Amino acid sequence: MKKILPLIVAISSALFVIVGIFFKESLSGWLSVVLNWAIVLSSVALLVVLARLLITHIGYITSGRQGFIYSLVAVFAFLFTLIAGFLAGIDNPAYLKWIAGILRPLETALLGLVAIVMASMSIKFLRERGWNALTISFTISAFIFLILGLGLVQAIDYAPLKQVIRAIEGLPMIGARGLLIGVALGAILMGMRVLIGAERPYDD
Amino acid sequence: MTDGLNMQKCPKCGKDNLAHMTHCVHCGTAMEDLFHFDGQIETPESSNEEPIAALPFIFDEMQSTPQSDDDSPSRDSSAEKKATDEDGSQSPDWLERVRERVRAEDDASGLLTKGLSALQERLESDEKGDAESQYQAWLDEIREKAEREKAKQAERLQPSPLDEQGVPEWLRRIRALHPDADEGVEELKTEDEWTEEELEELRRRELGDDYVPNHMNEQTAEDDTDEPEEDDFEPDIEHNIPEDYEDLTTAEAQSRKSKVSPAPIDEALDNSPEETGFVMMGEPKLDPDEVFDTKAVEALLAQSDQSPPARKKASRDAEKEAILQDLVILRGQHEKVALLKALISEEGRPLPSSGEIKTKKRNHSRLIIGLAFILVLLFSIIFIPKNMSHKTPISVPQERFTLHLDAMDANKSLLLVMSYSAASATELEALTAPVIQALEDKGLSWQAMTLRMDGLWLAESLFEKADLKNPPAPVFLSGGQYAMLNLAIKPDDQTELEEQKVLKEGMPKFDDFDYVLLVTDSSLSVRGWLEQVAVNQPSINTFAIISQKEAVAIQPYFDSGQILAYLSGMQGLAGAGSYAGIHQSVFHVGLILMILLLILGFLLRPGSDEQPKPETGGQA
Repeated sequence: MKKILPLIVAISSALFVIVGIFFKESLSGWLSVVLNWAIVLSSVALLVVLARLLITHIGYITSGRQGFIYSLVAVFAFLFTLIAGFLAGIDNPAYLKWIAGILRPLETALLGLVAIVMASMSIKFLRERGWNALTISFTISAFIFLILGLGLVQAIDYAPLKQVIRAIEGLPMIGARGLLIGVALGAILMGMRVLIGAERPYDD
Repeated sequence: MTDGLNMQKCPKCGKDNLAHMTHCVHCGTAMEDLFHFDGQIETPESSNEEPIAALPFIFDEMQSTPQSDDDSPSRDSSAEKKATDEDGSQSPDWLERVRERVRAEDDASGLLTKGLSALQERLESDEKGDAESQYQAWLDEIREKAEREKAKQAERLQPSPLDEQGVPEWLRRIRALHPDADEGVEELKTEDEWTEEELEELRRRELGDDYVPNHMNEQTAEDDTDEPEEDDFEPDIEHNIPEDYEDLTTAEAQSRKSKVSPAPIDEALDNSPEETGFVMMGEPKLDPDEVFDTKAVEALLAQSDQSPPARKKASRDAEKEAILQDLVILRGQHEKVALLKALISEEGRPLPSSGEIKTKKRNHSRLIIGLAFILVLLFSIIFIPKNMSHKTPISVPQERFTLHLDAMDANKSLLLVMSYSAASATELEALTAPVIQALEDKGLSWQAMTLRMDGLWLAESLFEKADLKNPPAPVFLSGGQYAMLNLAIKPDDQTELEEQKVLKEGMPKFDDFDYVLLVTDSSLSVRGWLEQVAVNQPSINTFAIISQKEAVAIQPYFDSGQILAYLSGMQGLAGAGSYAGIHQSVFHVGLILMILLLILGFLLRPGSDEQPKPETGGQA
């Protein structure tokens, strides 16, 4: 029963959504209700995750675990934002500007570090793997696109070269199309597996 | 005793005497004229001087009964051989033939030949009337002996504590070392079945003063005897595997507690403790897997033609060699057992290498490279002016976006959907702000909606950058793609279900908008919109502003016409005066640094940190 009940709920919900899309005129209202249930459940799940995160970090602090200072900062920031949001309201311009003033530089700095980390990892990748087909192809492709990114080659007014550049710049598009086709096929397959009960992501 | 033997009458007293007697046992009269062997070839007088030393052996052989002497044939032959060798070179022809045949044969077949030779001798010396019965008896005896030899060989191949006759392994080894004593034992007991009393007697005789009665250790013996029964005759070799002489003495003391006593081995060693050479054994030269054989014992028989002291010494050496072989074999087995025990005891323990503290070599090269990377970028940001004229070709989506924006009428409405993080805000706001300004200039109605909570305060920043006086308040749509799908499905306004919508107050309706502008840093958001919402709202035209790293992922949707146009990264709105806020010079510096790093990484010490490749598969 523990396994059958979730299976029945999942399959019936999926079937109902599919049928609702095909018979939109008559079932759209009921479909909206089901989608609202999903929204509410996802919001509650977010609250559960928040509570779990808070309890975990409080546990780290009380037990004096190594690096608990970071947990202390996380709990303090969470409580401060929560209390300020309750008191000032989430529409308060000062509150929004204050939060944005903290978030934007932090997240931008993290994103900027990605470039540094990627450069470092590319060197490590080459030194650990040595020279083989994978590393050489990676290096050549990265080198070509970095050169193209400079825009210097495109400035050369030579028709055959422009065609070559265009062909090279089209390579990522080929990969993106293949990726999208693969994603679509995977989604269809996964949906079918969930419908027939072969895939149970909700299971333990 | 004289039944079945030929008798002769004394010519003087007339009483019976044995046929081969030279003098009457009653009156002492010489009967040499009457003495002769049946089948004996008459030789010249000189040959009548048959070796005197051989006669007692012949007499003994003649007097002994076949039933009580199992190994008489071999003994006869050996005795005759001894006699002949001691005597000199002269020997009868028949004896020479027997010797040659014995030399030609080996092992059990040699014994069989010896037995047959002795049988022939007996047949020649016996009377014709008793020949058949004695022949049959000897045949039976020889057959029995041959079967016994086969059984012993089988036991050697498959060592077991007890054979089918109940003889322990140690006793079989002792028998192999002391064939004469073995014969004596068998003489005492014609039936080859050992009882406890007989074993006790044998131990007492072999051990002498060191003998401890078995009943003294009855309890220990019972415990020890239970194990072999449970183990199905698992050979117990621990009790007689001395590592060296000290272990041997220890084993001797311990062996008294066990039923299967190593006393015979100890006795054999005690005969010449210094000569056993346990401490002198050195490295074993024998194959540990080799099984014990009786070649050393047979070598004793081959050396029997030596003088008595030399023969004794040779016998002792051969005995010692046999014991050493035995001990070396067992020692090899013992070493294997010790190795197996060590492996079993080490099972499950962590490998020594895993417990070692790895002295990781600190490599600061990557830290130095990273710091240099950051420093160069920092200097380029500070010292290179931002608004330099960089002309890059206008892309097709960029051109289309400009054309569509110019073609928008003032009576149209646009929904601005925001879904990006603060990290991408700088890039996307630089692209979006000119578009919003153009919409405001046209007098187009528009509304902002965010799919992320942080979009609420990021929208404030965007509006500030667009320099809007009274921007519309953004709406937060919780639930992500579920909420978008929920909005896209048009419920029947007449039903009561419309009243049950969770987020209906202030929520925009897609039907009210002609355009949708997606501002996002994730291609998933664009894809979710196109797959979930746009199919249910075919009248809405979709535009997108996306970060540069994700632009390639939405290009297929642009090619298919699902997106009318999009802006990304450096390809901002044409004529906006800047390239989406990206510092072109710093961007180029960053690209150059990346190229240099790739070249350095490719050329400098390639493979110096190379790791061993996994045998199967592996991450690319």
